Amino acid sequence: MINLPNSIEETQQSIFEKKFSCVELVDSYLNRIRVFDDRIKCFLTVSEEQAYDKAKWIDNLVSENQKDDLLNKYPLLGAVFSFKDLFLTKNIRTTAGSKILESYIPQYSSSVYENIMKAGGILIGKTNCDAWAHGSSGENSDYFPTKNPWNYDYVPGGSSSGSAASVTSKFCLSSFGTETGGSVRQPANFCGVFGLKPTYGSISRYGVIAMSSSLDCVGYFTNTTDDSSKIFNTVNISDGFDANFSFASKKIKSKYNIGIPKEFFDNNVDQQVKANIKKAISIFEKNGHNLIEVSLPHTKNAIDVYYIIQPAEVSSNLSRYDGVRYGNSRNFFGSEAVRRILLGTYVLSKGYYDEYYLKAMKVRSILTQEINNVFTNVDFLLAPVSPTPAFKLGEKSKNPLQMYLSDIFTITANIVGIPSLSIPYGNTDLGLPLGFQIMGPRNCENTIFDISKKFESYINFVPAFPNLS
Amino acid sequence: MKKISKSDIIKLSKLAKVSIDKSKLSSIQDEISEILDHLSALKEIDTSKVKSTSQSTDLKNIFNDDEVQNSLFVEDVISATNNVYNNLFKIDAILNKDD
Repeated sequence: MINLPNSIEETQQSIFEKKFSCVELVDSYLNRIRVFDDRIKCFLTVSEEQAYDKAKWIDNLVSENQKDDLLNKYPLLGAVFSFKDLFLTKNIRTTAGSKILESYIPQYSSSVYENIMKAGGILIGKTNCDAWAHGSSGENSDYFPTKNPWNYDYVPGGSSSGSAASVTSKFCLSSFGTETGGSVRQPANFCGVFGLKPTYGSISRYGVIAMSSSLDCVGYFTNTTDDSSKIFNTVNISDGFDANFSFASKKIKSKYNIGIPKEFFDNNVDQQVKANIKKAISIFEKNGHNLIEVSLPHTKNAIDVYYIIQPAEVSSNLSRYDGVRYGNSRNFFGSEAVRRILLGTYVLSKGYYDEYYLKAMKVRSILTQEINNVFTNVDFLLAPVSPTPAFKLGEKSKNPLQMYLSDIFTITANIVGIPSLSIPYGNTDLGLPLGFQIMGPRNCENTIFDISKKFESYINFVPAFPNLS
Repeated sequence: MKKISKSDIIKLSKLAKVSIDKSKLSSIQDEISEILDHLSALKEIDTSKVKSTSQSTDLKNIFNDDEVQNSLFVEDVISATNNVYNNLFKIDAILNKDD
């Protein structure tokens, strides 16, 4: 049994120092999946054949070439990835977590998947998610719910449930997911890994099944900030297929002004979540950064803005599933998809459009202005990701509104289109992960990575993983 | 709390071409009404002098060069369904023979 690597650097060092071959690496991940995924349920499709083919190709390359030449050409060489089942992968089944696409085999791949493969990455499988990315717990998957690897009675978060859980479970090194209202940051927070929501448009969404087009972002999970940064450099490129593209800037400072938005620390927030973030805040303070209380009054309205705009756009995007060119009939939609389609159709319909959708778009402008203003005074905003740690399976699934309200702290970044990194830090007394998010202005991903790396050094950070049973 | 009517829900389901189990109509009505009630909090905000935002990037008119590129082969395009005739997708009739 090999020691599974925690980072891209460890993976590559081990392969080049012949601690293990790439085929042995893939063997170990697949063995682990065989033993434990029956209970955790991260995967909808495991791509054994493709993983071994790629691993053999890599082992050949390594035996015949210099390390530096190879890593220049293939910066992610040997890194094993899973992809949320929203990413089209040519000739590999892609379901969106839905029974409508149960047998769908895509005829082309998403740009991000192609770029990761071109960079030397390996696909181990397609991960489970809330159907159509509609959810905050993984419980809306049309197949089965994924469990939190830290405690199987708890949710891993959603909608990128299988993605986050697959990294925590060491079924892969990193995983791609998507964010529309927090679906990378929240499962990252619940599973104790890093989760990046980038600037809207900065990672191409070509070939990613669309949920809500003015909000959707590609995001991903890693065990370290350094890996998050390396992966970002690989995918922050223009492919000509996403018209919203922008490059990240490279500004970094030695000391930052960090805003603490008071509306994110009200009575809704669990005591342990609050106390833990206060510890993180004092660590930043001790190390010379300025912590400044700020007020963002319209963030209180963000949840309503989101739950008008998102279902409206969902009702439009899901109209393509008519069973004509692909997929089963619309009768196969699950109850959450139907609920959002009905809600979206309602807020866009004659007589209600002005009161709901147009109103939401205007409040969106107010919120955007408020956030842009705050970034003239501070470099970042530091806030909880979720009002509570991971909750139990079944705890919120019977009340849709309660489930929607669990998004209150993530959706501001989605509505305004700014980047945010979910950083794992601390644990509850039950051993569940805790953490916080750092939001910044558009295109400041490199600055966010810098502050996150600084935080890792302040706490001598080492990635932590559960003992699976 | 004002409730959305059952008939409105049925109308919406026909518009959006989604099927609803008649037995679930009551619970759908309750759920959607509760959500709409929460969403109506936006009414309180003064937006009289505000323009709407439909996207967050401020980008306008992003064009590609008008170049012919490769596309999918027909076999790929029709590969995801069996409902095909002469490389064409079969759909439900829109007009009757006598129309």
